[in-house]
Amino acid sequence: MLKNEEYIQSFLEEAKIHVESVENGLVNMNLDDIDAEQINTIFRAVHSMKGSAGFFNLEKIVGLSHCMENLFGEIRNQKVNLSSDMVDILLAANDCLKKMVDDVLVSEDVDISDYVESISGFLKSSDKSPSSPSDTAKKPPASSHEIDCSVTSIKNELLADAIRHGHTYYLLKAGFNEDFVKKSTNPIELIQTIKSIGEFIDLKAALSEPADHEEASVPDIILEFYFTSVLQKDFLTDALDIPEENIAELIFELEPESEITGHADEAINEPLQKLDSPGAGEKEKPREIGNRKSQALAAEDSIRVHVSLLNDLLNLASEMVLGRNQLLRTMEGHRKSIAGIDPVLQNIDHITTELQEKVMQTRMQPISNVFNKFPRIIRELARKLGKEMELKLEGSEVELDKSIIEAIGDPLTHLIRNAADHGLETSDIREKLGKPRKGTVLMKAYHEGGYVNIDVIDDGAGIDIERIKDKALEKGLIHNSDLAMMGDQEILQLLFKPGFSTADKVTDVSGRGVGMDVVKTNIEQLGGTIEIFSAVSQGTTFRLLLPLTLAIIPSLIVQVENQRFALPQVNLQEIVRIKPGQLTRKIEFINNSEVLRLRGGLLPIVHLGNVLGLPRTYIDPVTKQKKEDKRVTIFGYCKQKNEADNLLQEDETVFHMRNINKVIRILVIKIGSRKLGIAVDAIHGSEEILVKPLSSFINDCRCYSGVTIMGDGKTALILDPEGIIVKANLRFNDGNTEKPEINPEEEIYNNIGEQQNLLLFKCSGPETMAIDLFMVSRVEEIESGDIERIGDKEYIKFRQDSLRVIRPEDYLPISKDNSSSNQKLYIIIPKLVTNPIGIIAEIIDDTIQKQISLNHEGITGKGIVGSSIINDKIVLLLNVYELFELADPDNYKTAQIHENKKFKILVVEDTPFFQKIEKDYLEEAGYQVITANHGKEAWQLLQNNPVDAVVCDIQMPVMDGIELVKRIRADKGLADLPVMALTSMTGELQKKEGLEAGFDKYEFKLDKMQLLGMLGSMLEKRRDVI
Amino acid sequence: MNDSLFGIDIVLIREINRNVEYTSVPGARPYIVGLFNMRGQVVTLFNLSRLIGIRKEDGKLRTTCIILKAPANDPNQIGFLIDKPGDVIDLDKEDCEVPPANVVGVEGEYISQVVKLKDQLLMILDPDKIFKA
Repeated sequence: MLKNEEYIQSFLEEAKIHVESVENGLVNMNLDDIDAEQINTIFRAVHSMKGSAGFFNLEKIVGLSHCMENLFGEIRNQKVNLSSDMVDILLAANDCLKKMVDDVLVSEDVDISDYVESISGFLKSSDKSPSSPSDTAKKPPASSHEIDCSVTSIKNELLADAIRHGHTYYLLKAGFNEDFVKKSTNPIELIQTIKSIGEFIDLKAALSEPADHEEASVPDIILEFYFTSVLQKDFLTDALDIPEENIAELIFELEPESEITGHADEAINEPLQKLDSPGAGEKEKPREIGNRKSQALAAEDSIRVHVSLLNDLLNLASEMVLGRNQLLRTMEGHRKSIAGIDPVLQNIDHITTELQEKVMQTRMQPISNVFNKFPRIIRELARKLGKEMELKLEGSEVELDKSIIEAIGDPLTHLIRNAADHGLETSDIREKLGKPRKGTVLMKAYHEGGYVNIDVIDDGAGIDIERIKDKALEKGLIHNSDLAMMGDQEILQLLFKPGFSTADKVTDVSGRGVGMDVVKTNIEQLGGTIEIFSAVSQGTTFRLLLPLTLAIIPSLIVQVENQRFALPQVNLQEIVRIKPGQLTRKIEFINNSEVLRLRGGLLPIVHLGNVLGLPRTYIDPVTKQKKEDKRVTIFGYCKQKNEADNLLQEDETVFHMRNINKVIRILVIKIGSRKLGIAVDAIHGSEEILVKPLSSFINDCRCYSGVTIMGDGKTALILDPEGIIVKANLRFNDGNTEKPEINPEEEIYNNIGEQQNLLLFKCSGPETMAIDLFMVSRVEEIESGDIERIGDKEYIKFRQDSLRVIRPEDYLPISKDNSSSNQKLYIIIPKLVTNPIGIIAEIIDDTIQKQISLNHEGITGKGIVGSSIINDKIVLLLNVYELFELADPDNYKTAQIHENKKFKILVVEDTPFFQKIEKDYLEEAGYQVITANHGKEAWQLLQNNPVDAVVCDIQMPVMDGIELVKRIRADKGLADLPVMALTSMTGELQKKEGLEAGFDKYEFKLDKMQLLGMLGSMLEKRRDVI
Repeated sequence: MNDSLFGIDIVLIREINRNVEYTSVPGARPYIVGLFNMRGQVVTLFNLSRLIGIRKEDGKLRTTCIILKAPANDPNQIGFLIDKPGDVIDLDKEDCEVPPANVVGVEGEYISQVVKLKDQLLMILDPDKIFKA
């Protein structure tokens, strides 16, 4: 059995680190330009390992590491030049060490003689007498003049241990002649005596300088005994029969455990040097101290904690998150009734979130832990396969959950082997193809949308699609008829089928026909996916998409047929809401498949209920009973409605009635490059959910990835989009996978059109308001004392002027809390208004950029455009103009000029908020308004509807304002139609561009007075012309 | 259950709950009723009558549920929906008998023993078989 077994665990952990650092050092070594520091690092690692192994009597480990250490020592002293052969042998020896460390109990049975021999061979060949490892260790101490100082390090653990037990460290000097010969004893006896009173550490011998003796005739050997004892110095004198002046007390500093082995030598040598040659000792000292300080600092920065403890912490934190969710949900109704509960809840909310994040971080490890072994693998593969290749690593600092880090090692190794073996051509072929002789394999880790992607990219031959097809047919993995329907991406996925290998010849490196399917299974077990991109003769990319962590994921709670499901948010791209009767967004049919036009692409739509096999029901509007829905397609009513319109609404059926006010919500899901839309009945908002594994009884349903307990204590299944794709039988080929973004600007452009910048704030009541940032000039912080009252109006001083301020709660149907005594207030100063009025807000929540869906019906009132759900909360969007009208009717009175003649105005605006406001303004001023969501729609409307003027936004999806106005100007019938740009692009350049394109006026959003004035003058002009 | 009496060794039972709110699992095998949350643990609920193949007229709201103790190394908790719990009784070994030869098929599979009570027969369920299901 092993000695000191209780420490063996920490030794093993340490040894593993050492072995790794040796390996890394060796692999990264540039043979032409050897970095001394690197050699030193390796030397120290080997040395420390030898030291601690000696403590446990692990002779083989000591032996092997010792001879490695010797070689490195020589290399360090530049007596031996490190050669490539040497590196290979050393790596092999290091592997052997690793094996021994991994299985320390049998390490004594491992045969190390080969390695020792070949390493010693290097030493011999450099004309340096090798000291065989076991020799040095076993040399009788007394017979050598100078003991290999490294041996002391073995003893060093002993020393540290003894001192921890309250021993004092002593140095005893005895002259060989004087103390032993004269007293007719010998050193062995003295050592025996020392052992009886304490722990013997080491013995050193030196020839005394003759000058020390008066007679100067007899040189004496001074023996230095290092030992520890619990006894005081004066007792020692008696016990050992040695004069007191010959015994010196040494100070041995206890270092943090992990450091001891690494620097034990210095610790021991230091006092020795001080005693023998004070000068030299002094010189060394500052460096030593400096070193030690930095080590001490480093040691304080981190502590070792057992993984199981971390796992417990993680579990507890996860449960805590659940508890918080439950608490928040239960307290929701009592927030108002219990005073002071709100801040407490918020606090708990924040702290829990943070706690969970931090605990997650403790498990995060840099991906370099996995990556680091690949240079070695590539090196070996290069030799075995006779190809020149190099490995590049990128993003080693990206962090992943420990469990994932551990699990991706094997799949990645496989991919690397594949890339090297199948991917890269031989150097000669590469040269013929005009590629650099050296093939490159690039491993790249990076974050993307809540996932960590790891790309394994080679610049080799690429994958021949045709060959995969042939192989697949040949092996009977697939039918010819299926093959015809498959896209390239799908064919590439065949690689992952069990029993598939395209390599023409089977090598021992890869190509055994197993593996790729294992890779896929492994990755999928982690909740990840794998994709292949390949271009013949340019190379292949394997992309692994891995979740950051496994335990807690933010997800969207959706509802289908009264059942709730959680959909991981990482897959979610956007939510599309389709209102019946909306002309621009509707479900269209290709045979019986439903698709949605989304930004120029077609999105396949499936209904969650259908996929899961839930019977579709509806509430009968007449009987109020649940009935089974017999429709074949979910969106049948869209078609129905259109038909009904055409039939002049004569045949308006119950069928139609039932659906007219139903809104479809479609979740746009993206997995890798595949996209699909999943239609659901309702969306409940997002929640952080704790993933629990699915019980084995139901894990044959591929649609679910797990189960979770929600805030209200009910269980909900977690949907697996991958499984849904399979179940719904969706085939993705290159056509409807997302193309690499050729035109990123366009994409952004589209997004701008869709999104709105909102400033969220609260007044004295609990309601959250929002105002579009386009309309805000600035936000000022003031003290409540700054507000001065004049009559019943309030003013503040702002830029040397008095500014009227209003409290929205005085004018809007929202609650008002007079008791609040908040000292700090914020004034939102709107821009582009003629008579500025500040809006008082108590809390500025946030500014968000978001695509919002506006609800005009739910909460209405003068001054409010509508409501929307943002971050789970209802937010009221303010109509600043209406608000100001309420507050200051004199200045904001709308002139009703066009009462007699009703003009028809077309408002083209993609943002629902502005569309609504513009429409309201215009209608209020007596205009007749029709609206369009984008240029194309407007153009279509213009064909059939005569209008008197167009008010148009510039930035819009599908067709923008510039394009629209160009078309209008080019059209004979419409050329002289007044068109006014109303935009948030307030740059002069854009204005010029707009006017050149044909706009009559270019106006900024959104000054009501200006808008009406301009429009009026435009129409006036036109009437004059006519 | 459905006029038949079933029994199970009380040592194997963790608890009996009434009015559980469960979530059904669309797409799962027919005898799986759903999942529910028992103090943070997710329990899979079985429809016992479907599982052992007794015909059962649905319609009655059966929300009484027996939750079994899971084997130590098995993370899967399971429970059954039952009509109503009866009594806890002590049984003598003599009263027990292996299922008669004509009890075969699915029904027989899950029944380990039959007990001759005074006025009725009681079938003892074999939980191991159910776990394996």
